[in-house]
Amino acid sequence: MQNILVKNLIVDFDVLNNDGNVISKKRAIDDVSLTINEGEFVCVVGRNGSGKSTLAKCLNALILPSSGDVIINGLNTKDENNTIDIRRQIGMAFQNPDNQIVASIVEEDIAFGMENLGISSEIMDERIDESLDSLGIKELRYSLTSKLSGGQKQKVSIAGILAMKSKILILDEPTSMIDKNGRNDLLDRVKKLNKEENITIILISHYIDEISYADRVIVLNNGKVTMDDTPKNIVLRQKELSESGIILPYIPRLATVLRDNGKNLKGNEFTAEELCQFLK
Amino acid sequence: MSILEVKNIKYKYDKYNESSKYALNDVSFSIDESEFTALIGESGSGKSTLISHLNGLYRADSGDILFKGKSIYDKDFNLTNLRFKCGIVFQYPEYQLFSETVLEDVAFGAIKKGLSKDEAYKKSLEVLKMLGIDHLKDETPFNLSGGEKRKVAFAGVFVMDPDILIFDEPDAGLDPVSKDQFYKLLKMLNQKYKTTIIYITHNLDDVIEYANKVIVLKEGTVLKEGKPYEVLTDKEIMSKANLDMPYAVEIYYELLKLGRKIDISKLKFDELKETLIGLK
Repeated sequence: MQNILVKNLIVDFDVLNNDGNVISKKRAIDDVSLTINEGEFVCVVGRNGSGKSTLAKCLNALILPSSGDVIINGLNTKDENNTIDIRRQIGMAFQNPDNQIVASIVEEDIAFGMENLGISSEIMDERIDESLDSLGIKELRYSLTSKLSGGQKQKVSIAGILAMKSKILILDEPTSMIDKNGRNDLLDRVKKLNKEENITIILISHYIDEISYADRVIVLNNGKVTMDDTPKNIVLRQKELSESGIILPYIPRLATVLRDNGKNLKGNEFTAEELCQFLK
Repeated sequence: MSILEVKNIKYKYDKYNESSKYALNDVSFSIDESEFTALIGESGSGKSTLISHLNGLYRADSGDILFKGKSIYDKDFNLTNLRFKCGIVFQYPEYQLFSETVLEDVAFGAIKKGLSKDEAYKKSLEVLKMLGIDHLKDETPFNLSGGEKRKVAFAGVFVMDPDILIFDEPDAGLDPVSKDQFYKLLKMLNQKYKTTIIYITHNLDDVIEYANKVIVLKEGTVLKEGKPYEVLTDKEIMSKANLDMPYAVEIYYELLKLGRKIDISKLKFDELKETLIGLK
């Protein structure tokens, strides 16, 4: 019941000079191997240029391996005949939802992906309602997509993926355009999809606070996986995190300092309430 | 002395539709010289519209804006000069890079301002040095990482010696380490060169850390302005503005629940840390 299998993945990009000739290669992903199982909620973190987005694009065959393999439910991305099936199974929400919204009305935008799959209009109708409802934006069904806020757009683009019944959802920094309130709301919804509908979530983020939503955190640095652990464990490995260019989230960072000053804390507390326990 | 005064400005995008909403509805505030001001509010509250008024890119439907005491809407007012004095760095400034080398790109504005090519290049190199990216001067801007591109775009604005620097979400898309460096740099400019800084952000923990003034917008009106700790701890205002409180404030209230009242004006990370270490 393996969902995603990445074996010795290497991705090289061409570096071009001003005339468009290849002058060298840059290694974006450097021998990555990992398995992500069905229903997992994985957060991938790393500094700018660590290979996060490249890895994500390898999973749905937008980028093909220079060597190694990416296998999604038994389908190798290298085989062109698999591409359409793979993209049906993996939905991807990009950083900027404006790049992804195609229609002028929300329901049309959500229908777009389903139309391409040849789904009947009755089923479409149901699924539009369902997917909007699961993200808490049912009332936006007939709204103009151009009038939505950043957070609303992001939810609409995710609803479009859900409506296609993708079992794997990749979110590439979905919250970089929205405030903390909207972030928490979006991630609560995503978490619910993960728990209730068993949808595999791969969240790419550099809001390090967001790791608390995940079951598992993968840290990338210079194209390599440097850490792979639970959120509670990973924040205790501060030295390795900083070697990968990652600063602890606010509360674990404070908890760690307090622990080192003799307070009764572990250093992996994530909420204000947990942090203040040491006073009791 | 106030460098910028905004007086009762109103602005609507859809001017010919009587029932359309004002994007800015009677906004007034003033900014003192060398203040470090954060502009916060949920998506769609009018933040970006507001900053586009500050250097005269948008013209208010009514109301006035004074730069160093003079109305920018006066017939004799030199708007071109204002745009050199009041530099705006928009969201994702890396998209506005266009020259073949970094140095050329940075010097562009300075040459437009009237400096000779030699002077402009000399000055640009100084700014690049200050930002720690002078080794990139001969590279093409398009091969740089996101954080580097942003520094280049920022250098291009800073080389014009602005009195006011305005940023629209300068940290969006930057990893925590680059973000930290960026804010430290702003703080340095603010303290050393007395540059007035106004920036839009969603990250309220950083507001506590770096800003000395906050303005909260909601539906085109100013809900409150004041020192970060005064505004961000105001539960009523924050909930009206649909904003989640920063972690430091969450901790403040959690401590209050436990009967521990700490100094509300000392919520920066290091201050909070010291206070908590002192608690028994």
